[in-house]
Amino acid sequence: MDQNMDELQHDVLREIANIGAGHAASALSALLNRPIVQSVPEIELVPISKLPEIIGDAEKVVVGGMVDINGDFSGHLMMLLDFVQAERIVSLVLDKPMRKTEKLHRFSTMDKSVLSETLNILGGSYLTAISEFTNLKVLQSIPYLSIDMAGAVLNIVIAEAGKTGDYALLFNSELYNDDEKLFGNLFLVPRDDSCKILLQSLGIV
Amino acid sequence: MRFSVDIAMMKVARPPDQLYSLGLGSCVGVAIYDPAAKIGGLIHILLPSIKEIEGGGHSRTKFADSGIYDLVDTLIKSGASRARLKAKMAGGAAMFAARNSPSGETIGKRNVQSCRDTLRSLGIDLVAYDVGGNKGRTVYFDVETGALTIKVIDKEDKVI
Repeated sequence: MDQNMDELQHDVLREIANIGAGHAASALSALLNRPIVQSVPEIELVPISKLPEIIGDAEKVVVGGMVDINGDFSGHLMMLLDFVQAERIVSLVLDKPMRKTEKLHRFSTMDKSVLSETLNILGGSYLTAISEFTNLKVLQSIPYLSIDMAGAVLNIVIAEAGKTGDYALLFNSELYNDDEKLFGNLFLVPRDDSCKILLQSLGIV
Repeated sequence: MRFSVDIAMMKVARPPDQLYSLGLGSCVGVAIYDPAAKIGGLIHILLPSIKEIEGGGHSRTKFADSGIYDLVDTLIKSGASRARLKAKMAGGAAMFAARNSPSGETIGKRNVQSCRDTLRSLGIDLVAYDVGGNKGRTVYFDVETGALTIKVIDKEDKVI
């Protein structure tokens, strides 16, 4: 992966993330029946050894979800939620009161299913938008869920990135309802030369 | 002092220092030590083999084969005896249980196998291990005693 991106390439990738996350925000808005806005996406080049600390420390327990992307470009779409965010989404989707989340608790099979399906819908919207914008075709896998330490949950993405270098490029977005950060991190992590393919599809590079 | 050993890094220490790696998923933490000389090291391995990777510029400590070789080399240069070296390891999980390749092979499993093979080829005894499954692990290595403490969420600590 090219570590020397110029300003234009950076802006184009940010716009790709913007379009993807914008559609994901609309999908979440429809799912939860409330207005959702997205943050300005960040395009970050992160040393893989520092990736586990992206949402705190490597040992922090998170609800992590992943979708594999394969096709004209490839990579992973990941969601990382802290317990409060995950509990909030479950309560909003199922229309039930939120449990206290000071302590770790178990999510039921139904709760996990809700979280997986949320990622599935958001991922589908995100990728469809990018696919239409770039005219590239991709398929997404079923959503996979893991509730564990952040470092461990991110490990597979780090391993993929590690095959081609010591850095990973992250497209990071956050989704908000009013002032509440509802969806902590939605990452697109392109694999290998997928960034180049995305840029080429738009006539850049 | 406690020292963190991040992904693709290794560190050699003497008592009373401790070494740790947080949140291992498919990664493997391999501790190698000389109980008599009281010196030991921990390496945080990400991928099975440097031979599978094209192009240069990769840190050798990212891989099981080149990384373990370098750790052993460093230990011996720091006064350890190769004949006395022992190894323990933990990690190599498949974090997304449902996400298996058709062959059932995961990066975690391949990492573990490559660690075993490399240790065997160097003639180092693997005296204890805790690998596989689908839970993340944090490991603490006490150079003084050679104890490797493994933390898993929702479970009691395990010492091997």
